[in-house]
Order: sequence, then C-alpha cells, then structure tokens
Amino acid sequence: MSIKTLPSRPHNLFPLWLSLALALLWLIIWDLDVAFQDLVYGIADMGEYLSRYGAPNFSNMSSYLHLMLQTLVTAFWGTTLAFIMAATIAPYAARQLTPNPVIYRIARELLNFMRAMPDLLLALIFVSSMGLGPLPGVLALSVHTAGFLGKFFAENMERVPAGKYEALSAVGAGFTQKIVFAAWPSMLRESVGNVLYIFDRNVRMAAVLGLVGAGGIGLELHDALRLFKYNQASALIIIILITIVAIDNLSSWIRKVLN
Amino acid sequence: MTLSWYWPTPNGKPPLIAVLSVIVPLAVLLLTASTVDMSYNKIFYAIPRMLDFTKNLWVMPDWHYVPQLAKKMLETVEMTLLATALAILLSMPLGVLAAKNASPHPIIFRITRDLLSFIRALPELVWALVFVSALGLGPLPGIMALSLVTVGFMGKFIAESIEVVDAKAIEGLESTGCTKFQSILYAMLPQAVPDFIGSLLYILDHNLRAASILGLVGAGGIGYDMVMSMRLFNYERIGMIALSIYALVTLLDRLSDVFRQKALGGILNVH
Repeated sequence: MSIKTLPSRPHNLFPLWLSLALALLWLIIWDLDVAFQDLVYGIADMGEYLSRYGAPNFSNMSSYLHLMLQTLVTAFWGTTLAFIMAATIAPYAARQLTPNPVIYRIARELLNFMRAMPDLLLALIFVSSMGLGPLPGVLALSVHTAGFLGKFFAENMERVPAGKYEALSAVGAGFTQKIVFAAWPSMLRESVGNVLYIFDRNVRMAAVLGLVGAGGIGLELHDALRLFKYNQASALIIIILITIVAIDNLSSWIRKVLN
Repeated sequence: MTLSWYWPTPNGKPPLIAVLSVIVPLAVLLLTASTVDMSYNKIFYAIPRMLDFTKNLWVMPDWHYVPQLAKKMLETVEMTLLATALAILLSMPLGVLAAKNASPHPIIFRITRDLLSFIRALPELVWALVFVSALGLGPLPGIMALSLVTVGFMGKFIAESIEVVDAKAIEGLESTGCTKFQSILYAMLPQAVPDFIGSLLYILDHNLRAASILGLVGAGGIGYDMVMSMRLFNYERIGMIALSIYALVTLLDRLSDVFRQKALGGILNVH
C-alpha cells in the first residue's frame, strides 16, 4: 500500500470555533450594553459594601430556624410528591414498558412540559390561585421536578437489560408486576441517586420560593435586603449556607453508603 | 392485588425494607403536613380557582407585546451565553487546581475544593439579590450571579473529569521528561474534553432556566415581565411568556441531545 491511500490528517477546527465564539460574545456584550469596566472602578466600593455584611445579627434566631425548617419540609414534600408523580408516569415513558407508542409520546411530552415550566412561574400561578403560604411552593416544586425525575426514571428503566422484562413476561407478569419486580430492583441505586440530587436542588429552590410568597426563608431575606438590614441578611445567608452544605454532605454520605 | 403477589423472598411476603421505605416517608409526610399548610380544604378550595385561572389564559395574545417579548427572550439567552462563557474562563484554572492528580499541592487542592463548594452552595437568586442591591438593576448583576454559581459547578465537574483520565498517557509524557504543566495541557485536558462537553451542555440548560427567572429580583431577562404581568393579571402576556420559555427550553434540550450524540460519536473534532 502506498502512502497516498492514507486518509488526510483531520483539520484542526479549534481556532475557528474559538474565534466564532469570541465574535458572538463580543456581539452579546455590545447588545446587552453591560459595562464591565464599572466593576473595576467599583472594587473599592465593593469592599465597603461587603463590609456591611460583617456583623451578622442573630437576634431573630428562633424565627429564622422555624423558617428554615419550613423550607426543608417544603423541599421534602415537593420531592416526595414529585417522586410519586414521576414513578407513575415513568413506565409509560420507557420504551420497553409502554403499552403503545402513542401513550409513550404523550408521556414523554408531558414530562418535557413539566420540566420546561420554571418552578418560580408555577409558584406564582399557584400562589395566585391558593393564596400565600408554603403549599403553593410544594406544588410548584413537585410539578417541576416530577418532570426531571420522570425523565431520569424512564431512562433508567430503558437501561435495564431487556432479558429481565422478557423473563417476567414469559411467566405471565402484568404491567405493574414488571415494574415492581423487574424495573425497580435493577434501577434502585441510580434512582436513589437521582432522588437525592433532586432533593438537594429542591432545598436550594425552596430557599428562594419565598420571593413570590410561597413560604420559606426567601421572603425574609428579600425583605432584609430591601430594607438595607445587611446584618440580618448576612445572618440569613449564613443559615441557608450551613443548611445547604449539611444537606449536600448528608446526601453524598448516603450515596457513598449505597455504593 | 398486591397481597396476592408472590414476592421473591423466602416466605413470599414483601421484604421488610420495601415496606419500611413506604411507611417511613409517609409517616414523616403526615407529621410535617401542618408545617406546609397541607389540608384537604385548601386544596379543594384551590381547584375551582385553578380552573378559573386556566380559563382566563384562553385569550387572544397581545400582539403589541411581541417585540418586547422577543427582546427580553433574546436578553435571557444572551445572559445565559455570556455567563456560561465567563464561568468557563474562570473555572478552567480552578478546576485544574481542584483535581487531585493535577493540583500542585494537597493544601491548594483542599482550599480550591472547599472554595468551589462554598460558591456552589447558595442558589443563583440569593446571589442575584445581593448583586442587585450592590450594582443596581439590569442584566449585569444577573450575569455575575449566574457565572459565580456556574464556576462552582463547572469547576467541580472539570476537576472530576480530570481525576478519572487514563493515567497511561500521563505516565507516557512524564517518561519523556515533560513538566507538570505540559502533562496537564497535553495528557489530562484532551482526555477530559468529551466529559467536559457533556457537563457544559447540562450547565447551559440549567443556566437558561435560571436566567429566565432571575428577572424576578430585577436582574435582567424575561423574569421581570413574568412577575409583572402575573401581578397585574395580564393574562394575554402570561400565556405568551410561558409558551416562549417552554419553546426555548425545549429547543435547547433537543439541540443538546443532537450535539451530545455527535460529540460522543467523535464527529466533532475539538482538539
């Protein structure tokens, strides 16, 4: 074989991609009219501004802790309801289990739609129809994250080896029995990981749902910043931070134990 | 129905752990129901109002709003792209420092890891609140909040994908006497690229969703219009905004699916 038959060396397209990306970014900065130089001039002011957060004021500690607890409970309820909805829809959105292709499409699109609606928009809608309080927050979180969990579960169900479903069909198992005895035992570990991920996410989200009146610690933080009570704001931020880090560590510990 | 099933256990009954994993969460839910105002009354009272709201959405769209809607949606996309690009720039060095095999010193590794998890801990909206109160309204505080949180996530993802690269390539380069920096540049980063593209697509998706609600606190994007039309019961606009967010998120979802397949199939030549 002569050397001519070898394929030519692939072109290095990286400089092209990079320059296209930079041109796009330049256009964006020009269009948005953001002035990054203000940031540079503002560094001295920024130091002064941050120093206002220096002395956290924990005098309302018990009410803050109560709000944080409410936030955690909101996240827990949201995640559990999302789990129930997702576990119900997911089998219809998994190719091997779905009874027919039309239902498969409908289930997929339903999950897609739930995922695409931002949870704060849903929270706004639920707040305006059922009044202030954590309940609309729970519903908003559960509808939005059921879309995510349903997609994860459906993908997990599709990854289960087809032989397991076939074996159960062969001994006469029905739809529900295939889900309980073939799908769930094989995908339990990934699914627990997915649920923990969604719970982490929901705790973060529940901490800001208060902005639209859906309960939790977010409203208190918003009010503190609007009234320039930086000391209370920094106390709230510290509480949120500690809680989220603790939940994160707890869930990564659970994940490690399961593996 | 469930009771008539023969479970794959010695006695044919459901295993204890399965029963407990149903009962324990249910018990916690019941105990905490009052904390979240969960009650039959509230839910049944809300159903007619929900239906009413849905009925109100069936109105002719407000066509005069289209130019402003398009402008705000474009702003949302631009904020997403700019924040993601800034975050890539900042998280590359941090990601390398936070990878166990690329970090110059264990102490630097520990410090960067903790710094990244600290940045990541607070949600975008909290940072956006702080930046809006420092810089005033507009897309700039939104971009800063988004890119800050993204640095936290992206740095972690980059570090994790560098940590799992094949050690043979690194050994090969080291045997020719290359420096640590050269081995990072030529052995570690190229191997981490496919992983990196996967996490980049995930982050873009996440940031688009986040950017669409940042306006809630005045940090630019479609979120401000969303809240305002909700407060003013401007149903023509709510429907349009919700639909355009849905369309945009779905479009990005489909695009990133296509792109992911291409990148994993090796068609995309990036290095």
